[in-house]
Amino acid sequence: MNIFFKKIFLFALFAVCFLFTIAVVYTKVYNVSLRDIPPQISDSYSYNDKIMFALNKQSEIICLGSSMSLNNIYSPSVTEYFNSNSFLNLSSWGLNIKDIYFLLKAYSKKSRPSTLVIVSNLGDFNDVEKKVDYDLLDDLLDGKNIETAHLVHFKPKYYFTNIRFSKKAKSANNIYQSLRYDQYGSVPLFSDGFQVDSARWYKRDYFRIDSTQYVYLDSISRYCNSSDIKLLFFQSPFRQGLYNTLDTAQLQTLRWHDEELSKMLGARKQHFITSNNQYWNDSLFVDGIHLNSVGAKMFTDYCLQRIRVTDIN
Amino acid sequence: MRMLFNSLTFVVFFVAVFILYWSPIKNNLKHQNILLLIASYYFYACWDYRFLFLLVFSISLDYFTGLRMHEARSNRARKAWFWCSVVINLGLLGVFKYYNFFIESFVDAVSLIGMNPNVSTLNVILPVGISFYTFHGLSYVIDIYNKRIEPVKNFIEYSVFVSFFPLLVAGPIERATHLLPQIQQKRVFNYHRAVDGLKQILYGLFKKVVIADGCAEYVNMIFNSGDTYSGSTYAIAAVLFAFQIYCDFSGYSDIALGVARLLGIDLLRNFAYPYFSRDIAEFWRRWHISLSSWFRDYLYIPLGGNKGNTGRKIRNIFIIFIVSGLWHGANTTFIFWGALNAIYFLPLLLLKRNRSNIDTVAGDRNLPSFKELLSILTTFALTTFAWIFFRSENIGQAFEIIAAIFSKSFISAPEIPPSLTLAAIIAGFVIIEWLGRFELHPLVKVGMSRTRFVRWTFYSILLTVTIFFYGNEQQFIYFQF
Repeated sequence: MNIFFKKIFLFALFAVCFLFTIAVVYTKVYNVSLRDIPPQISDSYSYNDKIMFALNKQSEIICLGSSMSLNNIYSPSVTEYFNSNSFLNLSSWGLNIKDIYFLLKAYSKKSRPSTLVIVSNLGDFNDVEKKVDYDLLDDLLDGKNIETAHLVHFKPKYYFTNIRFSKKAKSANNIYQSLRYDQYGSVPLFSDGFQVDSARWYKRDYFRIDSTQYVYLDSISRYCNSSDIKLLFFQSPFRQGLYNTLDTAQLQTLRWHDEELSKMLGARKQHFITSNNQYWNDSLFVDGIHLNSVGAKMFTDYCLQRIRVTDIN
Repeated sequence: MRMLFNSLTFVVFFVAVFILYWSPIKNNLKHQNILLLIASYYFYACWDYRFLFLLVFSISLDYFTGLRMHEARSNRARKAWFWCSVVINLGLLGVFKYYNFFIESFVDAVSLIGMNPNVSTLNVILPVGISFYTFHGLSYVIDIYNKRIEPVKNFIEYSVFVSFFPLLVAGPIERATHLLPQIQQKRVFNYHRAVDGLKQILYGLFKKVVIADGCAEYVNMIFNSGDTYSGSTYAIAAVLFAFQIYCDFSGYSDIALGVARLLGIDLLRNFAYPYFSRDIAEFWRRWHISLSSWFRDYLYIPLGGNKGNTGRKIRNIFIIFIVSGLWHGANTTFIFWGALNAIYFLPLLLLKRNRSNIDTVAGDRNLPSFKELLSILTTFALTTFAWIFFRSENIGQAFEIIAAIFSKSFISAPEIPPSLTLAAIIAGFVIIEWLGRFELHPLVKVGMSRTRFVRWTFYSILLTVTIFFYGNEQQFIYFQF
């Protein structure tokens, strides 16, 4: 028995040295560091990374949402419109409306935003939500140390698979996985040299709607109302070439969706701007729904201009 | 808090049991058995404490009917106790596992003739491991009835036999003749057996965490998405599922066997490199051996086996494979899977070639002959084809996938190419399995290397890869059966 435990101990020592050597060689060969990886707050790397970006940033204007809010909003237009640099884009890939509601509540506990911008399209009203450890998120936003957060959900696979990805995402702005934020946290996509894959260019799978997401949007609306947060909801457009291929049922769904949101937000005097009734040239897009930086500027300017007109009226 | 073998919770639990088992009470068999029983009940309660009562009821039922059968003075009384146990055991299994399936199938069937019966289904939760421990109990009762064994007098020993935690939720399905004597005997710590158990656990974890869970990401994406893909994508998903289910289930069995060996108990072998089989009959001698042999001994042979006329042989083969399919779950996909395997098996039986590949392939050579390779690949293709039914959500999806595979899109580039890292690891895994095909598990072969540095480096590589791939703890597929 003693020999057994002794051998186990010696092997464990050997294995730890082996593992350590492999880890050191890996980080040297690829010139990467564990510090590049955010702790695993959720099952979305983009979400985790954005939370790290947002730490210790208190902003009056926040933008929340999926990649629609991350890529399709043009930060300089927002700061210029509000005449304030206190802007933070807290968006990350694939957030549905429910995710947005919970993140808004978590962030608002630490900061007192006066304006919330949500850029969305139909695809965000799906039922695929992120798995987020909200307690850990609260702790992080409270300023608890990041090392502890790393230990709470320590999964080697997460670090192993993301260590190289992180570097690539942070340096490129011409890939979908880009996390090269501007100073406010938005990610403008540059179409120059952007290799658009045909599946994404023609993809029309944005019509699987989960009705509970409307309930969550209503909750967001009520929360903003009660917390004195001005809510601006922008409906992001489809590429015109794609829009033209939508069938009658899809167009009806889109119209119904716009009307529903307009009614819901209008009832509380919150802004809802849809861009579905405008012509959006294909050259402004990197795929069916993601705008390039030129398109993002045009879209943001268009929405803010409409807000200005509405406010004047 | 579910206690998965691939979780840190289980590691902590097992280390505590191991130390207690071999240190303060190592010389007291009764105390060791009580510890195993408490640990097993705790392990099961972690899954769902409500069903612990069902487990205890099932154990008590078989224990007492076993004793009553033995003490019965007349054959009639023996028979009555025997059927009492069989009916209640199968009744519980039927209610928990098959009630809704049969009710829904009945409603579907009568609706075809225009009737619309108002029959309600129940919201029945499947107790984990029920198929396994019911079969444990049944084999014990049948063996006593057939006077192969005598009943156990000690309730604790019998309880440990049925509920021994390494095999409780997903087997291997043990026999009283094999496991009970080990539970009744004094166990002495054996260094070599313990070390081999550790190696088998490491190999099982590697198979589960690296290969099965790695394949699961791709397979789930394709089978669960609801989108349609090209034939090539489906074919890749089917092949990866073949590796997933093998590595998932045999990985579980390896861990179970390894854990039991650390406690001084040998469990039945469940897998013997089935994907190197040269025909379907050989495959079924090497795949889920404890279940196949259970059905052979307690269903196929009592039905007459391969004796009698051709019609009877065909009937028996279909019965055993369809029941085997149904054992996996209440779904027509499993029935199709079973029936398809029966169709594969029948020609071999009728041509009396079902035992033509008894030995291990390429026994005295390093590589298989061309004919052997072709046979292995054909058997693998047939098995993989059958797995499509096993994995599909419903029969409709299975036929859609098969139609896509047999369409022109089979020769197109897959929409979602699989990860090259995973492909390389699977290739490495196949080589390791091939080299170790004569052993209980391939690491026995590695253990033969005289240089400790080589051995430890190899184990460390497996450990490192397993740790690197360790992500979310994925449940083992066979827990749902």
